[in-house]
Amino acid sequence: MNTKKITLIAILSALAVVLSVAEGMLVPDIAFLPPGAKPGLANIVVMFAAGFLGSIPAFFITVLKSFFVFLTRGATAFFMSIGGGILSTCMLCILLKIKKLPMSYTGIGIICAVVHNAGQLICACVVTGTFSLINYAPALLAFGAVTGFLTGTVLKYTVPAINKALKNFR
Amino acid sequence: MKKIKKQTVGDLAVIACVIIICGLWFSALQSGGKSPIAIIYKDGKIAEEAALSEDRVIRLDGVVIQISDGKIRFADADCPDRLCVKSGWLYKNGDTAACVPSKTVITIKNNREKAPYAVTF
Ligand SMILES: [Zn+2]
Repeated sequence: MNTKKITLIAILSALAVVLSVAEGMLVPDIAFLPPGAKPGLANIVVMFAAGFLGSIPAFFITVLKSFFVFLTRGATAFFMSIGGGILSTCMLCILLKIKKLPMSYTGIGIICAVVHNAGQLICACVVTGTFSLINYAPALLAFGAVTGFLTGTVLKYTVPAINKALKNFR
Repeated sequence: MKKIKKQTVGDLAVIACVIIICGLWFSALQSGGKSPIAIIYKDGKIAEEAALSEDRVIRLDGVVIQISDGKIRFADADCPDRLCVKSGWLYKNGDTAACVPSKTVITIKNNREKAPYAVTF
């Protein structure tokens, strides 16, 4: 852990927090989705951190992002954020560890976004103590697939440029 | 850093899985008959089973629920983000809205007892 690495983690953390706050303000509620469903732009940052720096920085950013959710949106939102985030980052790190995984960041992005939404839904079911929120599952699955496709694909095509720019940071 | 690949077999498999599961699940939700009722859960227990035919207002701890014109909604709530109120009106089988902070969930079910999930899942 050197100074460059710490600096990079700090920058990525800030970026993740800004993206998660900004998307909450910019993205309108979409008709058939539960209000509050978000595209998860910060996942681009977490995926990049996991690939470039490793699992621990990725988890650090995930937890820090949820902590900001707690400060700005309260305990319930925090619980749902951390539930989705930890589950999704676990999945991400496992997928990145698999050698010769026949999948690009597009597929990884989809899986992580879907798992993230599933984690949030499970948290909501636990908090409310009812299983009936499962009715949101198909909409969240479709939504997660679309947003995960976008975030994963964005990362896939920007990674070469970022790698080049950050080659001294490794 | 992971090697960059173009679209691969794995990506396509993931996309295909999502489409198939979504399609099946959505069609399972669409099935349903007439005369839906609203089930209101509070703290994980059924607080009320309300017919949507009768206009009324139900007050529970932290939320105000309104039934009007065969539809039901969270009309008001004390929670911080008010996502429950933004959920709007619910009226058809499977429609669900939640106020997670106040542990209140409304879900619409068809009156005739018929469990759509029992068959498919
Ligand atoms: Zn609410």
